[in-house]
Amino acid sequence: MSAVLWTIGLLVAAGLILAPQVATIFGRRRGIWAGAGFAAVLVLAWTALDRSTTRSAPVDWAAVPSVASDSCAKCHADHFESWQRTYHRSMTREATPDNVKGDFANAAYEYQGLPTRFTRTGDTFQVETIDPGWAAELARAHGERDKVSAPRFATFKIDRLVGSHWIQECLHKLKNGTYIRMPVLYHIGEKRWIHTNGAFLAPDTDDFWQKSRNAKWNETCLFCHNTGPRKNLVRVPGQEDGFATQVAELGISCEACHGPGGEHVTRNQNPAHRFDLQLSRAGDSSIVNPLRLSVPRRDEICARCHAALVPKREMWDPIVARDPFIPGFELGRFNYFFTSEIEQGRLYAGGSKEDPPPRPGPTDGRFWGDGTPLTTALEYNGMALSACYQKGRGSLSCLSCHEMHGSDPNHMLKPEMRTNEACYQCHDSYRGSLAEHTKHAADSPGSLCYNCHMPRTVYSLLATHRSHRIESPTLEGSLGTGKPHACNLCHLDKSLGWTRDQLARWPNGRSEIKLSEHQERVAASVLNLLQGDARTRVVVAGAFEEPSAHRAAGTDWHGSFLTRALQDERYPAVRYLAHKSLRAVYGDAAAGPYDFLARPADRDRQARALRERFDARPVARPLPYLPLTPHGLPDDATLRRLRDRRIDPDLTINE
Amino acid sequence: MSDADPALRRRLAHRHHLIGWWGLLLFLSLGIVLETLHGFKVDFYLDPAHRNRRLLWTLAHAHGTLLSLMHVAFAAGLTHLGRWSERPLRLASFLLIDALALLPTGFFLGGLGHTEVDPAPGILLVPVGALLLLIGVAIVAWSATRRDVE
Repeated sequence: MSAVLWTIGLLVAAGLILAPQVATIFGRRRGIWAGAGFAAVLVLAWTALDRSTTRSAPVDWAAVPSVASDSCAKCHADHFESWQRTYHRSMTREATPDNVKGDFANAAYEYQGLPTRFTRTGDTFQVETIDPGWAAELARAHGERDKVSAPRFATFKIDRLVGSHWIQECLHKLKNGTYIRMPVLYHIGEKRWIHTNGAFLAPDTDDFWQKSRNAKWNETCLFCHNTGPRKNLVRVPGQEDGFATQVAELGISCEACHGPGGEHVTRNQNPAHRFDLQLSRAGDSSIVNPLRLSVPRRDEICARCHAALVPKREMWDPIVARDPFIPGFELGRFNYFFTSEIEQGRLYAGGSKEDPPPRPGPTDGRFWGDGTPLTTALEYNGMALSACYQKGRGSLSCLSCHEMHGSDPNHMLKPEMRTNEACYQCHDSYRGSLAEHTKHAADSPGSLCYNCHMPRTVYSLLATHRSHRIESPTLEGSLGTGKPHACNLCHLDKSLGWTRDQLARWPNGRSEIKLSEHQERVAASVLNLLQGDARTRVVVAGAFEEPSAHRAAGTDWHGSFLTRALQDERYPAVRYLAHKSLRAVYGDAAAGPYDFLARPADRDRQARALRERFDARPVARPLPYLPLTPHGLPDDATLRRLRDRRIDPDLTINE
Repeated sequence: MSDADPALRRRLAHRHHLIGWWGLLLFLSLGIVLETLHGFKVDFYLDPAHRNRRLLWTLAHAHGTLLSLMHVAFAAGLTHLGRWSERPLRLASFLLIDALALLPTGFFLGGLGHTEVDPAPGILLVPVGALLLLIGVAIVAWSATRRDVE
């Protein structure tokens, strides 16, 4: 029954109740007229109200005005509250006392002997740090302080913040509307300030402002960390470009997934319209409900920020136009998906999409050699490469495991999706034969589907994360790609040769794959730490932190090997994760003091002291794939020979 | 306009007296049920997703109780106070009874099948009941005023 009929029925019933009462008092005829009249007035008023609002979808979504998320809270209190708990909401915020995470109580931080001070005056926050111009002078002098003038400092008022989960970046607004990133940011987990060079995967540098010099929020953060962005570049002859940037709302708010809500809010102020929708169970065409979209359109809402995209110039100009993508539209209409930084560069330069696309190069900052994403915000690319997605015919989507409302803000997974229940949604047959399939005990980490099929081969923000490319851990999928093999991220003490032999026990396992002598005989983790590039090293250093690895490979040998890795590492992020792994095993006190961003001489002294401490506890069990002396200590001569073969290009992961 | 028969006034007073006390029994019982749902932390009532139900059932309890008290008060005053004509008296009596039936029922039904956004359509009984209550109270007020004037 339609809503109108339902309502008419209800109101007629009210008239029927009234009629006999009036009839008792005023007579039958008057009673009937009064009851019928009362019902008729109500029915007509309600019907007119219902008809006054259209139900068709907006013809031009781009013309629909945006509304702030507060407008949504009036009706969708539960969804609003659950969204408020998310880190999506707090991705970008103004620098108010409620939002600032960092220590501004006259806190001091020193990087490479260069001080920064954080202060607060009332509700205003300031950073006094190295002047960018002086930093550039020092960089040109390769960090030799005696070749430059005395340090110059500059004070920046903090206007805006990016991040609230892992790290928080502080932004200063210039007069021309550009928001620039401060060279020091706050690590929320560690509760300390760190230099930006330590927060992202990049080698040590003499340039204090290197990571912040061209980091303009209006350019780099705007499109994925806000809702309804419009860059609005302002060109003034003879001056540096400025911005009149606009957003519908800072952070990822309701409209990022549901589209502009102005029309929806207006229509639904009509109660008759709302009841009509409620009773007919029809979708409201004035707003996008991702669950009513097809799987590709639904996933593309996430992909807008969680995929590698280059705007299609022929469709829109990101310099001046608002992002034309509206949830429910085909994302590919407005953007190219790219699968390597080489391809990204070509597309930005105006090139067309090539088929097949160029493969990632050896220093690609976003993709391993086989195209698997190696950093976050590319989860859609990973999922789209998965057989589960390609052959799943719509049974796998982002929302198979994730939930935007009501889930744990950390990773936003549905209940039980941290367990094998995630995979059992489609692969239920493994429920009864898990150990047989995994060849691990059913309760061991080796029987957690994620550990083998979605290993932690993704790096960002000083942490490793699970790959969203769901794949079988074949040796071929790892060799020559730079991507550590899933088995060896738990079996840290085993070689790739060992892994090959183990995989031969599975269907399609290939025992004939030829490996180098070192790959056969030396633990893959050690080999990767010694010979891998920084991308590989950072992922492996992070693996030492995982309890699953502790259980599979033991921890009695970590101290001596990881302190050696600290000693000659020029990427702060690798040092950080190696030391964090030490802390995970031995505790903060036993694994300290060590500051991964201290001056080289100080760092070396700290690492040496740690090494001596851990070398006092040699390994007392046979570990055939580890280069150990007969006394149970790392064989430094062998390690040095392996280390000498490291190819270590300068690279950076573009998070 | 002639005054209502004292016998009619007594009969109606008795009716409203009964309705008021039985209504109190019913809606105070509803209050105890709601407190029990609180006591046992029943999801069906307390889950954040059912905040509309919680509000609407609380309103059903509150409106039912207060309207029952109003009936008791009306009954108590009917035989002694005000100057009543027969038709307005009988109409006001019906309207107050309708209001007691429709308002709490509307709130209760509205909470049964609510969504995050709106109550269930049973809530439409509420404005109807409110309109009838308003007319009924206006008639009572008018009758009470007639006595004052004289």
